[in-house]
Amino acid sequence: MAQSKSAAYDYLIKLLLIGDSELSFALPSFVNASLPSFILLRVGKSCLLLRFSDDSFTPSFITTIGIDFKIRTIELDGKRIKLQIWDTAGQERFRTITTAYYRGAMGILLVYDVTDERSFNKQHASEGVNKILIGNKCDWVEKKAITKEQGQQLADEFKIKFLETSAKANINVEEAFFTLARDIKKRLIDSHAHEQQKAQNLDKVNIESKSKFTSGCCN
Amino acid sequence: MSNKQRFLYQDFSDPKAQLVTADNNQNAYDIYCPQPSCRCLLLRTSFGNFVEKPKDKTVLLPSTEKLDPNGTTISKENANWNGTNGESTSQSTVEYWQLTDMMAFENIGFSKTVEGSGLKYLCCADCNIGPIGYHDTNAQEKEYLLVVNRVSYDVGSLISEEIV
Repeated sequence: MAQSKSAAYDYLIKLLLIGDSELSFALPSFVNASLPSFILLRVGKSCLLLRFSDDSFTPSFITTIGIDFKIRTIELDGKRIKLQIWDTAGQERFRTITTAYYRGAMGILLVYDVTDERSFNKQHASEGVNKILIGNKCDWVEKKAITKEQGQQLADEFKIKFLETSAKANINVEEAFFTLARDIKKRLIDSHAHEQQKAQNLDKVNIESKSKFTSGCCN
Repeated sequence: MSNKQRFLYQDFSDPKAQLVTADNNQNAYDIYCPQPSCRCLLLRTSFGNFVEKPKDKTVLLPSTEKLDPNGTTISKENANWNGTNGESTSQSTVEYWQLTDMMAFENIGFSKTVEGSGLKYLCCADCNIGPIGYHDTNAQEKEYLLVVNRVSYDVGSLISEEIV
């Protein structure tokens, strides 16, 4: 039997979504980067609101079981980067699960719901990985409980970047993932992070460098 | 962007011959989400091996939700709608695109592992439609299986007449 191609990518970046708000795996499909084609917003435990609301299907089978992670391929500065994204979806109250999730994560999206003060107050900083603070549902202006300034202030406190997003209105979603991925790339790849002096930061992450995409039959 | 055309399994008059490369038994086209309105690229050309598994030696997945025949054919007027639904019960095997490295997927979603069976179901990374395949965490040989008749194919520059 012919062997299937090994994955063609330059780097693998593992990301974690933490927070009550459900930015979920909202990330545009990169089939055509100029045309963000997708948006996903979890509004209840297993209820999804899809951008393609005219579609009559309900992806209930998968969402009832729950999604563990997603693999996404993006291009960043000419490199093909695989993102492996976990969504803890509120499981962070179970410490053991969180520990398992944290292991190997290179970046974390701390997501709060701008309409929910409790989700904002629960945010906490953690060490050793790149992070970005996300205030989701920013399109919901009339329900807004946390201002952009408050978000920025918290991000400054954590010394991390901050973005307000709307998965529903597709505002800044792509930006959020790209910003974080770029920071991670800068930290782990561009600065020769495999060198020893950074080993202590790196002992829990595993950046995999793969040979360049050489198949020639695609694109 | 070129005016690409995506087709479902049942749109092909001889899917096995048309979708599988003769020389190395791999997927001849880029593989997309089965939902026409969803643009999610799942697997690039020649990243999957065509395999057939006897029905009693594989996992028969529950049906993909609401793949409405009226909504699923892209360019139906150009397609050869031959009436087979791809889920034919007369077939004794199930056809898959097999991957040995999950990072070979362009975009994909994995469900949580189902207790008991040890299965992870695959879904579209954008719209979550599924299951479109599975991964058996208990299997001795690591493999990821995408069901051939549950995805769509971008035939690229091929004009539709060449398909039928």
